[in-house]
Amino acid sequence: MQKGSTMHIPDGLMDPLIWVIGFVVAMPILLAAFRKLGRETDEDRIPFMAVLAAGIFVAQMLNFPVAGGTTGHLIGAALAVVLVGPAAAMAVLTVVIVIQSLFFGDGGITALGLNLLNMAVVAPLVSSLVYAASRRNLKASIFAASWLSVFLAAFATAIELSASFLISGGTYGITPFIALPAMLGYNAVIGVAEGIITVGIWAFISQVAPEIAKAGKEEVAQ
Amino acid sequence: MKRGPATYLAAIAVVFAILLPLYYVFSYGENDSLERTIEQGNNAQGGSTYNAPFSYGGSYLESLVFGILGMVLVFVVFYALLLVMRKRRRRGGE
Repeated sequence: MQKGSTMHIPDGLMDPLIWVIGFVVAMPILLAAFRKLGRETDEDRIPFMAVLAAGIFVAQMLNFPVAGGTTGHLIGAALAVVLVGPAAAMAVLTVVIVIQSLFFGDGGITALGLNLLNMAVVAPLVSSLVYAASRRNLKASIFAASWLSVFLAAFATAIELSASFLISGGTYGITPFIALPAMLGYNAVIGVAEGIITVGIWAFISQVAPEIAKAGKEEVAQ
Repeated sequence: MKRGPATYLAAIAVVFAILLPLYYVFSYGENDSLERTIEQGNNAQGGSTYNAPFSYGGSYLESLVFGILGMVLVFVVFYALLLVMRKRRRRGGE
């Protein structure tokens, strides 16, 4: 997994002001999520959450082809939201992303705040908003939550790349004329795969352990 | 959970071992969406001075070993973190 193995924002790509903003915005939200989890989580649910985090780690390693020699990978935010709720999903994605960065060099140290903001804050928040609004067709709303989580996380990345480019006068980032269409175009397709995988796993878990899917829905409704 | 976490982790490792060859057949060596965007934008990445202790490996066996290592690491860190937070909370409430 050499070429194509660094799946998250690397060091040296973003303007320092942008990656500092990433930390400043992401950290308080994630701290609040961990606090909520520590306060309210039933101890019996912790092993399942930890298994889910481990599963998302390996799932993110398995890139799949999208189009024109480009690949994508699961984020897993929507899956985590529908199974354990938004706060736990944020905690799950945080641990996955921090370990990818510190132990596997996947995603930069300076870019860690932005990677957390995009995948551990934006993606779970979007997923939980869409899923909480669902009333009837759960599979359709899980698909929509998954697709939107990927698309808006990619949109956030494109905005960060564009802002870096504009602030630095082109030293960092990528011009918005390339960053926005490229990121949104590729991730519109990746989101479909994310939706199919998420609905598939959720449907399987709903069959074999319906109490887990039910608990997830209750967490999102709170 | 009906069974212990080790059973589920083993099941995930088996699924990973089965799906990993598909990655090597269809996606190995290809850029992901962000890398493709960076390539299109002609941005020379500054690189990092930080050297991570592991990588995702360059062969099926290496990726399998590092994937399972990462999986266990994530499980242990998440579990330990949540247990410590729960214990601190309980102690604070007493």
